[in-house]
Formats: sequence, C-alpha cells, structure tokens
Amino acid sequence: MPIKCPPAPVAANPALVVQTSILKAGTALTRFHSKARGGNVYNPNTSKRIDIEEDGARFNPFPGAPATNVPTLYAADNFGAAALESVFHGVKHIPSPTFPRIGLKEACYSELAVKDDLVVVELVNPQLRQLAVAGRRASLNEGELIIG
Amino acid sequence: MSDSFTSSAALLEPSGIHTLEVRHAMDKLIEAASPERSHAYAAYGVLIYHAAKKGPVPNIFSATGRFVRAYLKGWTALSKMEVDVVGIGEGRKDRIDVSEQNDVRYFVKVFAGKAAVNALKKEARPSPGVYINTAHLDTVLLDDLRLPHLPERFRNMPLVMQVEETEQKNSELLLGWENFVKASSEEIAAQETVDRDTVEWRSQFMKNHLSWTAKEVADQSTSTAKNRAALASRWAQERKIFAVKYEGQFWYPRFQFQDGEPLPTVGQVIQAYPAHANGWDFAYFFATPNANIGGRKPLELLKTDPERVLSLARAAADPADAY
Repeated sequence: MPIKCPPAPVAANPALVVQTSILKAGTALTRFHSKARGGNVYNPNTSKRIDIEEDGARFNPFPGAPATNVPTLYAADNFGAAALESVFHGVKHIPSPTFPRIGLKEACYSELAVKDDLVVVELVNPQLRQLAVAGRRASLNEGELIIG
Repeated sequence: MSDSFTSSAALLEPSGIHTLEVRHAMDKLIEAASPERSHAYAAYGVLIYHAAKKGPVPNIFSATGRFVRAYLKGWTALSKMEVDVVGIGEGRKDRIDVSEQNDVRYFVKVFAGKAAVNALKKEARPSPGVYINTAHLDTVLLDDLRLPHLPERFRNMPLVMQVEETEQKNSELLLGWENFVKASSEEIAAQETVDRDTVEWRSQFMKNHLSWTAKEVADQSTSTAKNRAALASRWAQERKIFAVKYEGQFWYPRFQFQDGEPLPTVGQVIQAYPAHANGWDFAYFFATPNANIGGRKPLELLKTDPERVLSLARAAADPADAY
C-alpha cells in the first residue's frame, strides 16, 4: 500500500526538540479495530475527511497538509486504555452514561507484539506544548493530555 | 401414569433419600408443596430417573449433586424470569430454556403461586429430571450449601421448579458451583442494570418525541389506501422510515416526516447501518446529543444539514472504522 505521508510543515519551529523513545521488540500492545481489518493492518483512513470529526479527524494528524490521509494503527499498552480511547471514546463523563450496543458489534480487539525495536515520537504534554500546530489550543484540552 | 418412560424416583427429605415409585414420590412432593400441609411434612425435591439409563441405585451423594446443579439452573431461570409470569404451571410461557456449554441444555418449568399444587397434580407424566420444592430450602440451609437465595419475589410462595436435562455429559463436573453462582449472579445483575437503563431510556424517548401509529402515518400522508396500516409498514420495509416497538406497539417517530412524507435522509441513515440494526438503534442515533456536532442531536440537522447527518450516521453505525 503506497503511503502518502505529508512533508514537514515549512513553518516548523527550529527550536523544537522532538523526543523519541524505543518500543522494545516484544512489547505487548492492545488494539481495538474494525472487524473488517486484520489486527495488524493499518487503518488506511482513505476517503476520510479530515475536517469532519466523526470521520476520524483525530487520526488524521496533519490537517491542511497536502497529503490526504495518514494510515494509522492505534494501540495502547493496556486493554483499558485501548478500549477507552476507541470504542468507548464517545461515552460522556457523566454518571450512568448511555452506550448503544451496536457500537460494539463491528469492533474487535487484538493483542499485538512489537517485532522489532520501534523508534516512536513522544507526544506527551511537554512535547505537545512545543508543537506550533494551528488550532492546537482549540483541539487539545489540557485536562485530557496524557501525562507520560 | 405410564412407567414405561421413567422407572424410579428418589425423594429427598431432611431425613435422607428414599427410592420410590414415581407417582408415589410426586404425591409426597405435592403434599410438601401444599401450603396447608407444608408445616407437617418437609421434602426438598424429587429426582426422576430415565428408565433407559440403568445406572447405579440412587445414591445420596450423586442425588445431592444433581439436585444442587438443578437448583442452580432453576435459580438462573427464575432470575431471568419476568415478574408477571408467576402464578401458572401450564403452557410454554413458563418453560425456560437454560443453555449451557458442552451441549447440555436444561429446561426449567416453574409451578408457582396458588395454582402450583393443582398444576403439579395435573402433570400426568412427570418427566425425568429434578423437581425442587423451594419452600423447605430455607436461607440457613442455602447459605450452608453456598447456594444463592431465590430472587425476592419468589420467596414465601408455593413454588416447585422442574429442571429437565436434555443431555447429560459424563465430563460435567459436580464441583465448582460456587464459581458458577458468582459468575452467573454478576452477569445477571449487570444485565438487569443494562435492561433497566434501556427501558428507562426508551420511555424517555417516547415521552420526548411525538410518534405516530401506522394509521396516523397514513392519515398524515396523502395516501388514500383503504388499509391504513399498510403504508407505514411498506415504507419501513423499503427502509425509508423506522419504527420503534414500545409497549407492544409500533410507533413511527414524527421527526422522520415532512408534510407526511419520509425525509430522504432518514432512509439514507437507515441504509448506512448494518441490516441487524433495529428501530431503537436509529432512535438512539437521532435523539442522542452528539459530541461531533457540539452536543446537538442529529435530528436537529435533518432538514438543514442532511449530509452531516449521514456522515454522523456512518460513524455511529461503524465507529470502529474511524480508529
């Protein structure tokens, strides 16, 4: 599958320090995904509209970039985080929230193991704050940021 | 009664186990279950053996094991049973199928309330299985056996449950019922909460959204058809509109219509969902505040932004497609 990755934004802050860490080979990850795709298959995000939230806008991290979509594999290092950030993402933080059963019907989860050491970019609070992305303040709620 | 089907029965009493002819054992059980006699005579239940299975002579341990397993199946059935079916011992409505792993299936039939004793007497041919008289299984005894108490609404009434096993696997273990009880009661409690919340949500929906009957749908349209129910059900069949079933009747929420005709977006939303979706899935979609449109409800956009409604519906129908 050809991957159309967007180029780096021209207005990137030269002082930006990207921090990376390594996901060691053998690390276990849990991933919820559509039954239509294999557990280790990227969501191609094709024909998604990045300006529409329900189309998976948060998985299209380069709004306004020339490339149309970024294939995504969304996983967590534990089951709870994977479930809460995917199937239950829309559940309101209120007592006795409602959830339609149909929301689970097309979803399943897989446990994955990293085969080779992976270099990943750390995108937790200190790093996120440095990113000069238009609209970041609007789209990121400080309270929701993950404390790495 | 014909004994060709069943050979013998074991009566379980506080004093022990007694092998009896089937009718005799049933008579004793009926006596113990009769409210006016139950203080005079106590019996826990009757095991009726298959005639074909020439097993060993009823043994107190194996009989107790079977009794306990049957009690758990009966208890599961009662826990799932709706309140209003109590009081009858006839018909199929009160026969509950409790399916198990390993292809073992149990049918639970409940004889409860005032009619219980008479219904039991009418059981011309008691089938192989276990008849349990709950009146003499007091809480102290149940606690001692680590068995769950009957649901509140079934206590203090004449109640006999018949638990019929359709297949008996040798591999089935006698032990482990404590785990079974724990898992089952948690599952049932969770399910009951979900069911209650669902019912509550549905009644709120009906309160807040004017809905039409099939006849009213026809009245509001320009249809001149004689059969006033046919139009709505045809539209529903063509997946142009949806109905919700509430208190035994189909209702068509009014927001689907404009000038008596279905809004085309409604049909597109329905078709964006998998075929197994039902009316309540659509009702939920249209009437629930949606975070993607700032907490408004999709039904508010039906006339102003149908494309967005469709996009929201696709995401709701297959949310997993987004991540």
